[in-house]
Amino acid sequence: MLALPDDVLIQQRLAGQTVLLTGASGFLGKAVLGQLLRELPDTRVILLLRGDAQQRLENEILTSGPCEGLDGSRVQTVSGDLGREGLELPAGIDVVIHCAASVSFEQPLDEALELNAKGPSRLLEAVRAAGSDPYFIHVSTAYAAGMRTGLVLEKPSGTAPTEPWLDLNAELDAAQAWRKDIEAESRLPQHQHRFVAEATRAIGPAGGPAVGTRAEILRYEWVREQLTERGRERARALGWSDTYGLSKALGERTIITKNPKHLTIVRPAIVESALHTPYAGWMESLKVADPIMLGYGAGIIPGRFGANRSIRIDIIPVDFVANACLVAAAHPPDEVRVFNVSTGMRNPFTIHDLAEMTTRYFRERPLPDEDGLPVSVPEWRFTSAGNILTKIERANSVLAKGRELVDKLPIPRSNDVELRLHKNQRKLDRLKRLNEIYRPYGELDCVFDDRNARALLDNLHPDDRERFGFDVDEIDWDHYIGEVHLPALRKIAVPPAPGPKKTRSAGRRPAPEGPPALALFDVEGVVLDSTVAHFYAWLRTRDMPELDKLVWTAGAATKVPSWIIEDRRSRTAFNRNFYKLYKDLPARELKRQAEEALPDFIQPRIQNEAVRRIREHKRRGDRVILITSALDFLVEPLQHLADEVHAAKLIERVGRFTGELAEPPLTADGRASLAARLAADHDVDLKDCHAYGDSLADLPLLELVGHPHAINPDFRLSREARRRRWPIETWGTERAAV
Amino acid sequence: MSIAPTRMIERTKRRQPAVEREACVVEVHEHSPPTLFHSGEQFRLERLPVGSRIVYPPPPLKGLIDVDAAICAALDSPLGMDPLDSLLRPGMKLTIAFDDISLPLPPMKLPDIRGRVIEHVLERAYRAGVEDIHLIAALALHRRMTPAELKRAVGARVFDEFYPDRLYNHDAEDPTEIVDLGQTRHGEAVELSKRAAESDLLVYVNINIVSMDGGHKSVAVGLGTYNSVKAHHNVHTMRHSKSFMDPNKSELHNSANRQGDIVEAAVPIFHIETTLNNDMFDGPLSFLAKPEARWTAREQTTFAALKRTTDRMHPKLRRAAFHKSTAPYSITGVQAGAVGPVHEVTLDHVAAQQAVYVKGQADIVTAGLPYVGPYNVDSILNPILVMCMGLGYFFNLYQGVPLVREGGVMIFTHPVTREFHPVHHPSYVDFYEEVLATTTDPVEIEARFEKSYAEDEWYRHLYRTSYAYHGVHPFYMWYWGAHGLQHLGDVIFVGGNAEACRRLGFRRADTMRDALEMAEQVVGRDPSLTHFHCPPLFYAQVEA
Repeated sequence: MLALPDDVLIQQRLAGQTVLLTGASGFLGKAVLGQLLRELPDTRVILLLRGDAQQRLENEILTSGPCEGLDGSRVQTVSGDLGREGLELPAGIDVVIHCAASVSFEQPLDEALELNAKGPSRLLEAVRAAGSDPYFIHVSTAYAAGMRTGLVLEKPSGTAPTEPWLDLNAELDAAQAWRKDIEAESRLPQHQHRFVAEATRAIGPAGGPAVGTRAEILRYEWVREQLTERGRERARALGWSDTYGLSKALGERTIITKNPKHLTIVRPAIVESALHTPYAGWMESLKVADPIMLGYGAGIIPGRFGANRSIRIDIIPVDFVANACLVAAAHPPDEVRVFNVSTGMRNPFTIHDLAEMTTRYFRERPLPDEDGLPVSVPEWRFTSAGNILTKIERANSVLAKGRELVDKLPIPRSNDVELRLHKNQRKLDRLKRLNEIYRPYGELDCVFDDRNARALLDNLHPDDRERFGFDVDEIDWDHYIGEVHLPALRKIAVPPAPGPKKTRSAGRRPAPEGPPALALFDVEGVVLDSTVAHFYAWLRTRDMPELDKLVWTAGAATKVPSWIIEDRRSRTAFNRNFYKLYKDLPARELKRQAEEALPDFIQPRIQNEAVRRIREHKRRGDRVILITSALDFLVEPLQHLADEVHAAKLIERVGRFTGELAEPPLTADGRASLAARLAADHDVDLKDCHAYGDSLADLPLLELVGHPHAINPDFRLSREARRRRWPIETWGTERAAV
Repeated sequence: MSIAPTRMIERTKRRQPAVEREACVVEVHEHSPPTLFHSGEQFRLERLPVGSRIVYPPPPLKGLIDVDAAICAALDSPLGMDPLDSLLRPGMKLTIAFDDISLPLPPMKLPDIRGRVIEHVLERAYRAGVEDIHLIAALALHRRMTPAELKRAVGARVFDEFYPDRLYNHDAEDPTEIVDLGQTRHGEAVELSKRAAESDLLVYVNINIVSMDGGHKSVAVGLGTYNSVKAHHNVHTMRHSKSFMDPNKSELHNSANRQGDIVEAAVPIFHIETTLNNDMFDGPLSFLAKPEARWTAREQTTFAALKRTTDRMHPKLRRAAFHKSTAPYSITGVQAGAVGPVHEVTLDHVAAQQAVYVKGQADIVTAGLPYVGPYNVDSILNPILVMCMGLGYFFNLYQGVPLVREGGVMIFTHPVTREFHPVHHPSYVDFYEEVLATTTDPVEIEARFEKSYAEDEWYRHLYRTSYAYHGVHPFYMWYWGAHGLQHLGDVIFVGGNAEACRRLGFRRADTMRDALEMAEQVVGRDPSLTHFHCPPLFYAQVEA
């Protein structure tokens, strides 16, 4: 079987050879490249990378853990995408190690097939087109064998008698057709209405364009979800747990039909953090099994998971897989060779063990929760997956009811309630997703045979065993999970502890930088702690005797809920309707009364931080602009605070207000376009402008400028602000003192 | 119009009332009762170490029996000037300026002495056929008085007749109503209310409650502008006014006097000064002015009830209740005439009521800060005003040398809460959040921040149209304490809010005992201690 005698070292076997490595920016690829650079100094390496390959090599790959400090000068790069036709490669390639793959369990079928099933043959053809006939090492997955029970032999996919017959092109065509269908379906009225309704609920006051954008995002997400779901269903119908396994199996089958000179299919199980090289616990992002462990440690999975405790979970450190690939590269087989790199056979590790070790680890060293306090993890119990999903569904419907209720009923502290509901919903969504993805793995009762791998290992020279060993017997699970893997996970998930901080922030926030531009302030909620309704109430009641005031307030209070609901849908509509209250009120009389607004109404409600910020902006040469939905004569004194005030104006007829606004209300996108126009007028770049807002109605404005600030945001705006990493500040008035 | 040459009234040999007040300085012994400390709108009883001295205010003097007669007498036989009647003639422009809401403290029971004097002046003016009469509240950079406050100060009759066209607040930021009178020989700008400067006679009606007030400071400052006020309201002047309660040793007064001379050259001033006794606590609470050892059983019970009530009351209700209280002052003197001679007599009257002779400085001086100062009538004593109250007023209530030695410690009782009146003190909030967060050094504050606050458009608008103190006012409050900051080794607030005290640059303690221990770290063990038992208002004439 082996061409060279056993006392020839791997280094000598591969000396002078050229290895083409794909997927070098991935987890396994980096580990392989690291070993290549470290242990095989006489081997030339070519990397196939997407995008600007040379730059990615220097910035992403050579700086990563396995390659750090190694000389990458003998690495050559080629730019190209395996997911597309028309790949061009240099000549003289002796060995191909194909690590590139999409490893997501939630990929639409067409995307998965394109890369994982068509990629390998595409690669081989490109190499052949360049004039070489290389030894092809295809990295597949143990799960390409499909949902089996019992022993899974090291045979290529499609060779067992019971395996289904598959037609790659038919599958791909069907998957692409789905995409078209679902794209079309998503545009049908019943779906569109749903997206628009949900978008309106989330960011209605931000105005039409914002709602449109959000609805489109929802539609896109829905399409993807549907495609994933269909792909998964198709894979499961054929006997695979997901599109990943299916596409990998198809990849194996197609590469075999291309009949390379030599072919090894390496089938690793669940690849996790490194045990030895480059260092124990090397890992860059969360891998397959990690979301579950982490989710459990973070208290998201409430100690229940749909799995069978005695099932072996086949985890393998990444450096073992990388070594296996290189050992395979040095030992080309005469006919197609498949070997599993797995632990289930020789060193079994069950879900029960995992649960126990994880529980012990997170009990001893708990993760911090959102507030930085230790999470106390429950006992990890197992039930059937169906059971769990029913429970999740039930909780989901309760939450949905709650959210609907909060939406309809303006209850006090609804911001807090909404936030809590939202948090729970997020937790539940994550749990549901995890359960859906991993359900088959928790029930996959099989053992991967590793006889071929073993034979390869046994043939190695002792020196090579030292350098390229992948003997799974040596894994001590207690050590690997508890001391290596979980700490590595922790390092990724938990930000490093900050140094000692000053307990009191005496220093002032540094002044904004950049060239002077515009500073746009919303008035209600930012400069003043009030709304247009407060202005109205003040104006109407200020001359009333106490008793009348009480009666009037009680009457107005009954209308407040409907105002709030309307405002949540659309600020513009609310303003229009609200100002109808001014209908037939005497204009001159109200304007006279408004003269007292400064000491009586405005000053007590002013948020002094706004005044300081305005002054700061003026000092550095910014033009300060206040934008308000309040009436011009009420906010007249604010002229002295800013350079410009844009307020609402009511139409007057024979000394009385008609209740109509002279111009469309300045809200949502109206504010954004005003800002854009002002920026153009004053010839400044919107990127240098600052905007301060408190509600979703300011979202378009905030999105437009380079320096947005969310001030006392309501729940919805704070969600958007956090998502966009905008600074969120809390300002207050001095009203409490009087 | 002619002004008679200065006629100095022959006065009996000056008395030295301060030294005859040995009984006002009491030593604490083993059996002394605990001592009363004001602490904002609350009271504390503290046991001072044996051997401490307590300086009590002198008892209130007996007031004039017939105030109206005294006013008439003053107007008819003024000091250094012709009688008022002879200065009035038909067709003349007469302006009457009067002290604003900051005086007296707490506000006096009605009728207000300002109103009484103004009525007499108006009566004479009408009799003489004067028609062009304006009344101006000389509030300098203080907040404007509300219509109700003006009415209270001048009386309903005058208010109804003159408000709002001919009775109004001085506006130091109205460019059209200000006139530049030039500079003093020291280069100090003199700007004045145009109406006052262009009048044929300016009558000023003053209330003198501390020796800092009155004299040339009344007109030159009260009707001045930021430009004229900043000539002496600055760190340098304040550090060289030792103290500003002692006009003879006060750079502040020297400067104001120079400005006053310029003003007097421009417009004849008929100055009317009135003095009050220190009868601040009304009826059942009058015992608060007495030594604790003299409290009767009934008064002790009253105090216990008062303390329990105030401690348990809602802070807002408590503040409202305190600010409603008025003082039953009696008038101890009315003087009129030329500014200089009038003020000299006034100062004698103030001394007669307030001066207490104290021998030797102490390592530690304690004092309880009350709820009201000149700048928070019907308002809130915010942290900056607390600083001004303690280090500006209480520290400076001395003549001779400070009551506390250089490098000594002052311990105040006050809650120092971070509360600001949103209408009255907007610039204070920013001063606290922006300036004090950066530095507490008066010199640096003056150099880096004063101008921007003084010229801020928003503050100016609030000062002119709302009821806000001028943007620069918190700076003056801080400068007021500059001399104290320089002189003292440490300042401790008992019961003060931790964050606010820290921001002000002071230390705080929970109990007087802790505060004394902290003070000992600064002044050494077994320090001498003097308690300044104010209010009622008085000052210490200290001999080193």
